Amino acid sequence: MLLDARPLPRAGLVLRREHDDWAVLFDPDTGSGFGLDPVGIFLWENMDGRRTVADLVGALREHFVEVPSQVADEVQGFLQGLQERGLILLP
Amino acid sequence: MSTPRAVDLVITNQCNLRCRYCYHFDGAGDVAQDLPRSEWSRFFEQLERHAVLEVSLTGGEPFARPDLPEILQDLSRHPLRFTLYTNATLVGAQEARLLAGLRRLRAVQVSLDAGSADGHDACRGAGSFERAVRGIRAMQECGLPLSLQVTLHRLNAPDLEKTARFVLEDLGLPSFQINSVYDMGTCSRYREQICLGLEERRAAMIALEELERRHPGRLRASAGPLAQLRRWTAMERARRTGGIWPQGGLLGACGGVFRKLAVRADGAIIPCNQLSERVLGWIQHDDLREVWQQSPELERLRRRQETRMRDLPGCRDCSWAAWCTGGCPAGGAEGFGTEDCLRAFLEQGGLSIDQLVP
Repeated sequence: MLLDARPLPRAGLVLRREHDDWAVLFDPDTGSGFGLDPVGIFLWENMDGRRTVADLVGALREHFVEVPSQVADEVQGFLQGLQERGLILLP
Repeated sequence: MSTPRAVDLVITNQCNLRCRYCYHFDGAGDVAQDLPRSEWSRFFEQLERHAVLEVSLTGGEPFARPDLPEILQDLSRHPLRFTLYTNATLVGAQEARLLAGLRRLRAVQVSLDAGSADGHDACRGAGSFERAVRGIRAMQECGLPLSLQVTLHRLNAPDLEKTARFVLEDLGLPSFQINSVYDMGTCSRYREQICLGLEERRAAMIALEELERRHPGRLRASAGPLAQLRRWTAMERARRTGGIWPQGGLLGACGGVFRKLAVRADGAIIPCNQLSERVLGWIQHDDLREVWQQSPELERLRRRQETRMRDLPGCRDCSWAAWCTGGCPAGGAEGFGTEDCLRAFLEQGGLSIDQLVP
């Protein structure tokens, strides 16, 4: 996914926080779930269709400590996975 | 878990049948009046706000409630999936089409106790088998995801083979779930006639083991003789090999209180439908999250799993205490002597240990 893409969470999904700071992204139409760690939750909650992937990477660097240098690649891979599952849209 | 993941709703106390083994009627869940649709609708908003993902609708019989279609439409507007429990006797083509139009319906679970009217109607009343099968066929024609529950009792247990053949072959369902009657509510009044005695439990285990061999993966059980047989066999194997079980040796048999709650037809929030006398709050004026996080009764039930089986009277010198997790909290006694107790079953002559694990 390109750094200037502006991902948007698909409507109708439920983010349910579980124990240990993890969450499940639940699709009530199919019953499928997708686990998110705290970084995934942060990205999910900051995607709004206006922020670019580069903006999200920047926000993540500010929010977390000891962010690895390859974080942009990892965020792009993570978002790619969400897109392939139909969980985010690229308007 | 900050809120329950699942909630069981007794959507109505009305039922068109009076099954002799019903655990609901004549118990604390048998309440005078159903909540109006508007109260349920408000509660569905709470469920969404607290990210509850799964709901089950039970009764009574949900279709005995005239406004069930509207309630289902209300529920379907919220981002969760639901399962409907029914005896199917009030389901015709119109009801089946209604259900088929609900995209968030996960499954319809139907109670069917035998493969013929004799075994089914013995506890449910004359004509109920024929009507239930008609309802099942109507739902099958609409392509609904059906799940089938067989409840074993003294009068249908001898027909297990015929029941399995009817469900798996004649109805063509992929599998069915099997449990046994629970000595609560109306069932307690007919205990002598319908509850499985030692000999019936033993015979049912042998028959179910054989059925499992013939239909691998097609029988499911979370309680009753088959569930006990599976659990006890695994416990004995672990004992012989010194294997370790997660939570083994702790009184944690019921994990329900860590993931779900239930609501009675009058709005009382309860730990589960078998513990309907333990009122934790009311959906009309309490917040589900607060009940989930702050109820002293729930906390007490959750803390059961901190109790070591070896510290329970009767279990101290049990050979399986390191693997046993005790019995259902609704069963009264915590461990030894309940229907879930392997040692009691063996000592009473239910099976020999070599029959359990040759």
